Amino acid sequence: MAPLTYAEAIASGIRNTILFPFLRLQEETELLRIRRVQFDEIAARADSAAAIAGRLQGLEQENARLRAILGLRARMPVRHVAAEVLHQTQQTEGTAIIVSAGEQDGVRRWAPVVSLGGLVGSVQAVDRNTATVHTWTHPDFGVAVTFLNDSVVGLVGPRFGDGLTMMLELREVAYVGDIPPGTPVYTSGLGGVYPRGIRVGRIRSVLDDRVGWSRSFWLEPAVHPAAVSHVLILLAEGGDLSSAFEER
Amino acid sequence: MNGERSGLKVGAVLFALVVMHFTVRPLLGSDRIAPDFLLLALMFFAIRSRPSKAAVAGFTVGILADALSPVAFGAGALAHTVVGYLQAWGKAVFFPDNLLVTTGFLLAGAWVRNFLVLLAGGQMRGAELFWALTAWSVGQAVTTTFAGLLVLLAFRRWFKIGIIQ
Repeated sequence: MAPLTYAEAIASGIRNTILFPFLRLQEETELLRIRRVQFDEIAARADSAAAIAGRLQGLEQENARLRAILGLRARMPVRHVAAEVLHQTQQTEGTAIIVSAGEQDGVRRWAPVVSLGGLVGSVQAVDRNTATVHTWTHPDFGVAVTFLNDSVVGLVGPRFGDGLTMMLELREVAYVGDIPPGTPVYTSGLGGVYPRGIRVGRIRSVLDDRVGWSRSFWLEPAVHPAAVSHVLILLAEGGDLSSAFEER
Repeated sequence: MNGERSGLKVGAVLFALVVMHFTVRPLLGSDRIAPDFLLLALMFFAIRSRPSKAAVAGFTVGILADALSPVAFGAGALAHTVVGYLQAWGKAVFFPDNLLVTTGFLLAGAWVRNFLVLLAGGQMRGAELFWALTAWSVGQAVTTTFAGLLVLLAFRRWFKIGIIQ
């Protein structure tokens, strides 16, 4: 097990003792919600589809999301484990989330965490049943990125965007001509934490232009941590995940 | 005997709030603005306690909250200790049985907790901190207060708080 700081060790101890039954309860509630969705779907099939179509919209969305996660799992070329996001209390949430998989599932520190759309973050601390994940909104987050054809290489970090949302910033990319908005950006595999090919976001607009030298871009994140309910934690190091996240 | 029974009843409500925090809250939408039942349990406990006791309870709840949001460990403990102490102290000084004052008390308690967590946590700066304080924290304070008033209305006799005037 990776060494924990004192704070992480205390937090982990509390989660594994006093809070353990409550976190299990929370996990069970989440599973119950999923089962309810499945049950409602079965019940809906038995009923008149037209009459209940309106009410089922939300459930269908949830169901589609779960199916999509299953699809992503099938496409994932490296060993991984699925986990639920456990809900939190304080306003610092979003920069770190707790997920329902830990040491006993094979999770290790620095393991990359992805969701349906792409990169969520990496595991910061692991205990027996849960893991703390620093998401890309954390101030310390950074990842080396590229386009799939390796035409551009740069570093991405979080930056507070317009309105109330966190965005990503692709920093100081060497001048290589026009990069059209909407171009997807993927992890490059450099740096040793994230394997190549995880979708990070999409070019939105130019943020800063140092004429003739470099440019920075706003990136539309592939995943918003607040909207994530299920994640996949990668257990194997390295590899190329382009096939799982490449746009078809 | 009566006091003991009343204490047990209130204890049961507080425990129910703790359980709701882990079962009902995840179903209530965004974590940023969903009501914080743990904080509510602390504030209700503080209303009935001495400041020293409320501060200890605040520290305990804060440490539990920190274990769930470990990005700024200790910030929650500090914030909840201060809020617990101030609620208990404020009750003795300002707390007439009045719906408006009770509402203000819960609202202020929830917002001050978020303010202290954000400030002591030091994870957010600039515009992000501004929006967290003015939008998300206020939103969570409002939903927490609303949930608190529902609990008070349902169990006002057990809490011995007159909120009708």
